[in-house]
Amino acid sequence: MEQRPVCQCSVLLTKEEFTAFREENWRAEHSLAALIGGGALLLLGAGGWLASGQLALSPLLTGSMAALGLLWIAQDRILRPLLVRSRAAAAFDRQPEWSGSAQYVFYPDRVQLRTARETGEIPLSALTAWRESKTMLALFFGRELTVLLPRRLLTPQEQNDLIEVLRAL
Amino acid sequence: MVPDCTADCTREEYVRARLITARCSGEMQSPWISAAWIAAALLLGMLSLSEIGQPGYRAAVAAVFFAAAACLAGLFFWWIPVRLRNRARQEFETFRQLRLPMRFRFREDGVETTSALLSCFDSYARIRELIETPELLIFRRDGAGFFLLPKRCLPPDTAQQSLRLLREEFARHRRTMKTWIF
Repeated sequence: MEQRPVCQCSVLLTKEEFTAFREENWRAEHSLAALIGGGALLLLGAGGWLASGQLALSPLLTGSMAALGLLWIAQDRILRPLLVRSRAAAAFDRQPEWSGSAQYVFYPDRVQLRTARETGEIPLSALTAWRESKTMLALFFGRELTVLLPRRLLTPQEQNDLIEVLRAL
Repeated sequence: MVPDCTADCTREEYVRARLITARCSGEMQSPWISAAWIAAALLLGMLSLSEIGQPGYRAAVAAVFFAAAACLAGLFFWWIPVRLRNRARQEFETFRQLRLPMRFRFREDGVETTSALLSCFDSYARIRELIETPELLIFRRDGAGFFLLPKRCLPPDTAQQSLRLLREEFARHRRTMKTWIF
């Protein structure tokens, strides 16, 4: 007997949705190492400058430390998110698999897909990660395939059914 | 036209291709930025050595900066490549499941790759470059995506002709890499 689909949808992403997702994804995977390292350097520099009388640290050294810390934080918190967004926008314009339409039919054990680049049917057992945000459900099949489903295209019932299937994997 | 062929690449080949593409367009794209951070830490170490008056404390501050430079060098040039290599080994499992064996069909306007589960088409315009190593042909797509064709999978009787045709097709977007650094 043929399986009943859990949900099916035809997806056409907007550039805003895609860039927001990429930034969110980057933030989720991004560690706090730069923030901690930059903050420590900034504090050391500022502390060294304030206590320069006792420590005999030159203003050039303490200023350099603080500036380096500030630069590190700025690069990590301001510049890189901007870069991620601009790269995502460029990828969206260049790559038809993001800007073109895609059809997905989800079954309990597999997903049928037809995108601008790929056609096929893959088992959900190949799923390596999935993530839900306020606006998007994202399914990752290693580096081979990413399925993005804007929540606005799914009914609450479909979203729940699909999440249940994903949780059961 | 390049004859059709079937690629069944090994994990080692995939990992090598993954590292090369990361070096060209991904996680390890900016060695100069990494080198700049290391140089900055070294410079601060030098500054602290030359400018502070109290000898005992000066050495400690300098040591911190030199240690930071060493840590950064280890991070950028050892830890990140090792982590990437381990991740690539895991990614290969999905690649193998979804894409292998991969049948290549070179058409006039692009490359069609087909496996038991997926079929995919990339126009030549969307293939950013062809990276050639002594063993591999790596077709780097827009973004960090790629697909690879080990040279050993080219039909033996037409291998040289296929290579020549591919080099001509990607004459303006081709790079050769002999070795892998880091």
